[in-house]
Amino acid sequence: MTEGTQGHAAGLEVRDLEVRFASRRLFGGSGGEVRAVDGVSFHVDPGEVFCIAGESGCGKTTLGRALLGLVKVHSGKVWISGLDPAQLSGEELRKFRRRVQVVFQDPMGSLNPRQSVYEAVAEGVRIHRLQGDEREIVARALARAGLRPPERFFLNYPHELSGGQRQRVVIAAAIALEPQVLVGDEPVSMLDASVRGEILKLLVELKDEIGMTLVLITHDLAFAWALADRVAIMYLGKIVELGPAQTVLTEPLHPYTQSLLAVSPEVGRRRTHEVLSGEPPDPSHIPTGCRFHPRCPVLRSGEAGSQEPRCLGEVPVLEEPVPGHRAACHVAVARGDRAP
Amino acid sequence: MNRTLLEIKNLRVSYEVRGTKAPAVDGVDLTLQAGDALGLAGESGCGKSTLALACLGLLPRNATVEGSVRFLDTEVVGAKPGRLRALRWAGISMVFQGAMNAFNPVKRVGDQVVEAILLHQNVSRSEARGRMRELFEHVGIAPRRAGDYPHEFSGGMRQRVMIAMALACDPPLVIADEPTTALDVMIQAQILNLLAQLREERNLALLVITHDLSVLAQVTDRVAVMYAGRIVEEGFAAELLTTPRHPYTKSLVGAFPVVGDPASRGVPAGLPGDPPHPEARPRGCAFHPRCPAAFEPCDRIDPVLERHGSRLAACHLVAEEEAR
Repeated sequence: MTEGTQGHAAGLEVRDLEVRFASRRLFGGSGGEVRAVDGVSFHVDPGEVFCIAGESGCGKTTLGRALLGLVKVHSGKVWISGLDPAQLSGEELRKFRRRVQVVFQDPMGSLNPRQSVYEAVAEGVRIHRLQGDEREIVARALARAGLRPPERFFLNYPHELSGGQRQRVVIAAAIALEPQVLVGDEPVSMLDASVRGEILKLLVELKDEIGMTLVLITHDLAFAWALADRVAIMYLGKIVELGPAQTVLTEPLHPYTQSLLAVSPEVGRRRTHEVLSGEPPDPSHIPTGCRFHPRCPVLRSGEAGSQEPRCLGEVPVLEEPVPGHRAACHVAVARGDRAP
Repeated sequence: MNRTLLEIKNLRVSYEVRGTKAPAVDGVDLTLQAGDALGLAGESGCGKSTLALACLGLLPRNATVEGSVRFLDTEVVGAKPGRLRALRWAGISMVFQGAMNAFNPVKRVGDQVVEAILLHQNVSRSEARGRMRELFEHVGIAPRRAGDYPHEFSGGMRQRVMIAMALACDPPLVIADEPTTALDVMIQAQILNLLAQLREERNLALLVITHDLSVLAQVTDRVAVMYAGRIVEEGFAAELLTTPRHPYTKSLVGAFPVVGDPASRGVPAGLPGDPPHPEARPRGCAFHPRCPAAFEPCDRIDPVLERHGSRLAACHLVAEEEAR
């Protein structure tokens, strides 16, 4: 999926990133701090498809917003083609934003209902003062996004389009700027199943055509399997497993990834595995030690053995028990060390 | 327990749009026995939600209904409002998508359930409270949470309360319209387990409406696939989802990659184009303009739903394969 050199695409690097939010109670009073992203490091190669996966509340969306410079970073760094959005302002930040574009989940939330398709795409072109004929740039972006002939859609308003077409308009507005990195935050999860494939196909085609790096944020491991070169699994603000999609999703090391895979719905197969009980994790109450320990099936079954005290008291770090495949789990790492 | 609960015969629902009648449901037959779990699948706009609303007599005024929907001994089509009120909740209840919008944000969750019970059952307030606690326990919510407000509940919890409310009058049939669409994977799995468990315990019949075929694999025995207002394929869930016959079902199934399957690595096969507008139904088979396998008769002759073994399909290709 990363064949060919990507002259245009930019790599990105994230180091020890922390994003915190002040959690406030309803009707005043402070409730302390929520660590939405709690010390995350990874890199993405130019032209790569990188997936960040996890349940709601795991921090994947906040992490995506930090890549775009849309949230205040508490500590740590993000570099995209050598630039850190947190260090930029004014004209430089505007230039940076052109390079890194985003497609969100809900196209109706991204589009202004009173703006025509032409205006929606032209807005970014004007803000970023792109060279060339505006009409031509807009038409080309729409055609690339699969809205053909583009002129037919110029005067349409969002409510006149289907869900898939709306998301194509959002994608057209993003790619009109020829970004180096495209972040997709659940770009297809609100669309019909039959349309999802078409939109994902479009993103991957555009990635190669324009030369972009694709960072996809999703809760759906099946799509990570279909598209990603590498996958990061997040739990409560931390990456718990990271590696090639092929190995992370077929030979997962972390018990959390294993549980996610077990409940991952599959057409034509009735699930027989146990479903993790309880609510999705709450980032304002992070457990001690390994933050997954209260829900961990390995710990509950006693398989953790001598590692158990560490699971309860010591925060595991991402280690590499298998070459190229990292996991933050005391038990998995201890097992890996024992393996020949 | 082979009592027929719901029998839909030649149901047609048209909406009046700008002076013309557009059929959203175009001649559907379905039967549901007590304790059955049937899935109704298809893209947005295929008529599946209209069909569900027709079962409850909840269609908007600009809708014209023809044909018959019989629930036990009640004919729903053309029934008087009083008859329909008696049918809803006690006969058929419904769990909608997006449970967040179904609650009053300034009232305690438990009180809202109690009120629903009082509206539909002739019981005292304290009896209703007891019933509410029982229902909460049944759907896996600690009864002490009854005093909480909707915003204090997560999406999965709110969906559980919706299910508790749907069960309040012990209906033999629950219609669930996209019951897990807005939920996370882990929560989705919990809700589907809950539906399967309730079905076992109460001999509850389920009609599950969704565009997500993977949901149907978990909770239904039979699946009917709708396209442009008609059923194009119907069969046992386990068979239909693994060996689809109709090219439309095939493309729906193909849209779901399978983790670990090397054939699913790479972009999932989508289905180009959009479903037709009800007022502009294509000639012949309504699916032929998007069909990868369309051949000679498809743009001329409208295929009828025919039985092939345990499967029903409306497709010239399937008929030809069977004839061979």
